[in-house]
Amino acid sequence: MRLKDFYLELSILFNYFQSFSLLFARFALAYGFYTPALTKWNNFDTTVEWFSSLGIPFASLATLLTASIEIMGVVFLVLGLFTRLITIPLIFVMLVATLTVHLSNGFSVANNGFEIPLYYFLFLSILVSHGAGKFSLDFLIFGKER
Amino acid sequence: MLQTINDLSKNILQNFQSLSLLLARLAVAYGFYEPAMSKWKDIDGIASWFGTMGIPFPTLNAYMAASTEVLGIVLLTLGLFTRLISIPLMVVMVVAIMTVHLAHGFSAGDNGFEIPLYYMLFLLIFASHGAGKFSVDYFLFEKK
Repeated sequence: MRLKDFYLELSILFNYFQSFSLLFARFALAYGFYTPALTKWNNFDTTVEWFSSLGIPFASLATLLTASIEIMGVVFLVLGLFTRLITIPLIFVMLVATLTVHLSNGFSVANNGFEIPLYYFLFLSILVSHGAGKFSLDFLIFGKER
Repeated sequence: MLQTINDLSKNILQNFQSLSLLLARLAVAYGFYEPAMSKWKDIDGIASWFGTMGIPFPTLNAYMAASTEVLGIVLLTLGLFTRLISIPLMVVMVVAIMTVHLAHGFSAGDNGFEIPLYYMLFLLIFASHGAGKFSVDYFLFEKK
């Protein structure tokens, strides 16, 4: 079947860009987590108050955990180090953010809805299942990553 | 030790590859729905808007962009010719970023290029990884 041959040939060619696409997605996510992470560290007490007003239990501990996960996420995603392991708590942070803040605002970004956290969640689930690709410390250290 | 943890988490988590690609495809298809519909509803208005932005052959390009987007919604949802349709959709995104969003900066709140950039990254992932197992592509082309 000629169409099948064509599509398989195309797949082989496009497969070469897998690690690039994962690298770009990691950089975009790291950049996206940078501002919220720094905001939390720089206004720690305000964030604790905000968290407790949202009904999050153990607000100080939760703030410390969230801020640490986010800043570690920035570093590890850029390096591609322990990518799968850091991605799981980041997914958790996104889910909590969606449930406590964004869900009641609907979908659209214009109303601070859950559109962007949803995209982050999807990028993170792609990274958690595919790994960081070849342009990563994971690949250099653990090898055979994908 | 670390090697073991890495291998173990990899073995478990890579089972979710196709699911993550399916969810991302559905999200991008949903994202293209509104721009596609608003283009078809007022194609003449879109053509003159394209003209004012300095896009050559505005009427032709309005039809091309609107068709690509509608086709994108259908094909991404089905997972049919996923790698192929991702390329023109990326072109549409690049043009949208250059002509509309770039001047507004990054943030999505100011209609910046944040969301189109995320779409481009999703589409690049689709083009390079394919649609995964939950797709028509898999049954047509990859299933042995």
